Amino acid sequence: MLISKIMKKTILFLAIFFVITTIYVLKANNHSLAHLRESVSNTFTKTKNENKNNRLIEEEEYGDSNLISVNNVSIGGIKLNEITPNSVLSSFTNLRSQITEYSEMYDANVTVYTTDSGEYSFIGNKLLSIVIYDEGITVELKKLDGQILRITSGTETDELETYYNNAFASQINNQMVIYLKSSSGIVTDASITFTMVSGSVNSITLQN
Amino acid sequence: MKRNFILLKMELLVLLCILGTLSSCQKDTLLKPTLPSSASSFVIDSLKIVFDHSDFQKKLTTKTNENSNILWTPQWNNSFYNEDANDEYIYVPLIPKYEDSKMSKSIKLVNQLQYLLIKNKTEFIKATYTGLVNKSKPNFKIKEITGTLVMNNLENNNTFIYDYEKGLVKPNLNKVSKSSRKSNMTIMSGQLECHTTLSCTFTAVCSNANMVFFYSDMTGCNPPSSDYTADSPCTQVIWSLAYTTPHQICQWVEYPDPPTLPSDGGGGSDPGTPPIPSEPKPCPGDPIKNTTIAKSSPTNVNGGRYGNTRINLDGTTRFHGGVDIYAQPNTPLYPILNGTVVRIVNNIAPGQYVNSRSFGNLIEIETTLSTGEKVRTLYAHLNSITGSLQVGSNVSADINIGLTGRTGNAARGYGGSPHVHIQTKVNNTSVNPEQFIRTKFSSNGTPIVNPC
Repeated sequence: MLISKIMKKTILFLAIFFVITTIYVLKANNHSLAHLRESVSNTFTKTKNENKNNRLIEEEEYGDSNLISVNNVSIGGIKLNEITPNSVLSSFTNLRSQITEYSEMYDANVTVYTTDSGEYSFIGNKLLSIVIYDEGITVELKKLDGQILRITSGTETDELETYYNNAFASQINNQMVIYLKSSSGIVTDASITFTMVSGSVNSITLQN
Repeated sequence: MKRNFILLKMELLVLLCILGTLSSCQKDTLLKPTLPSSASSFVIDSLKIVFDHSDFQKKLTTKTNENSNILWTPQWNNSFYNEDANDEYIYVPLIPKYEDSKMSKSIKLVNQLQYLLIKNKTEFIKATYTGLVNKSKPNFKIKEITGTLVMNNLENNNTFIYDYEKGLVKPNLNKVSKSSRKSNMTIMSGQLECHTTLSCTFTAVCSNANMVFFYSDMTGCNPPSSDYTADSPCTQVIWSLAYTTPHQICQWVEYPDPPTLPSDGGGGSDPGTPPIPSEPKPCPGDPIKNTTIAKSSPTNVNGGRYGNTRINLDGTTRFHGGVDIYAQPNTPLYPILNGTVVRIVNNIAPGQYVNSRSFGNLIEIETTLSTGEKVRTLYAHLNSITGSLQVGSNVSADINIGLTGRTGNAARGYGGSPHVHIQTKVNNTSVNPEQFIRTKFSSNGTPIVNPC
């Protein structure tokens, strides 16, 4: 009888011990899983936020840069891929000088046409560079929606920031660079650099 | 009889209670692991979802060339817990597979183990352990290892290298781990310093045994010795460089107490100000530390190299008469060849464009080769030339000749790639400067490590 009583008490004790231990462990389990769930949900939230921040991509992006097709760029009213020494001579009546000199860098003769608003350099018939430092020459960039963005020296940089956000965001030394694609879609080494001062474009340089 | 039956029932109940308690304790051990054990399936399933969602598998795939890959697949079913200090790690073994358009082969790792490490159930790290591998018991404990452990965070790509000797980080190396930071040395301050380095991976195909071997040198670029395959049935093993991997290596560098001047009552230098570490010099023959090719556009990785590497507006190629080495402005520059200074231009302000043909500030050095030929090496777009140099000065590979920059036509365009332009002429004829540069480059412009 006594043994049975002791046995009953032991069982009761063990049963209570079992219930308490199980509750404790389940609680710990929940706590640890909550941590895991939190880490999992953090990852998803981060992605969700990134998606939320995704804006409408206005122009073609490549990494930290923007790309624009050569077909969509005009300078001084001439399509970029049609600029030759002859087209410069026929379009700009205010030509100040024309010099041809040997360039050590290119190991070739370079001809430079200088106008009141900028200068054009060629190696033979191939465009080497254009530098625009006055509002007399406008760069026209055709956007993906078909509208034309007109930029010249003195233009405010707001629209450049809006439409070429990647390039604007990764500017170095107040310069934003847009790379050019050829007519056939090849990414070339040619680029247009917009040098900016106090929220306005100061000069525009095309380097082929 | 009835009493005996009741007693038996009670005994069974007691047994059940004990079993229940034990099982609860086992769960507790899983949640707070102290010893390697298999990971709970719920945790692993959840982490697998995070892994898939974060697209980390892409980062565990290495392209060996255009048509072949090495895929590192996590073996989730074989994952286990381990611990290092206060952090909890789940180890998921990574199994490599070689794939190309023609075949898919299993790879035999000869000197390493690879794991996907999940730290505190949040950080995903690719861990490569090279060193003593116990083939019969490959699941190592971090506290027992001897060798190098490279941990590459898959999210931010930062890499930490630890050299272990029987589970302890070697104290003589500058790669400080948590454990060595707990040593008795007085620490005033420190900072995380990062630089880019490369590891080389070699493969060997053993045709008679249908095997592919895989060997990585995480700190250099040396092929393995033949010992590694001695116990294999292969009759002939020829190792070839499969790929190189750039790593952003970060080291926690700690500075000891600055010395105190006794004369002024212990004023001394500002406590906590670290001494400025002297800029490490490049290996002789390299113009700067970490010599890499500068891209000429976002896609043209070889545009900085010599030859018809440039792409015109019309899509045709154009000749580039030198090599552009990527260099952040104000990086100390060293000559690739000893010689005499023959030209200096040093009057252009940092960032000044001048015109589309301008080299900016430059220095030119003439070298007479053992063949009697004269090589002229020009370094362009510099911010400045070392003041003590003038035409006629002799320079050697350990002399700093100037600071790189963005002067001349490099001041505009090439936005992402500041560089030093190096061009060489032998007897006044343009030649590829790469032949004189110590670091060599693969076909895609990746540097091949050539330590000095």
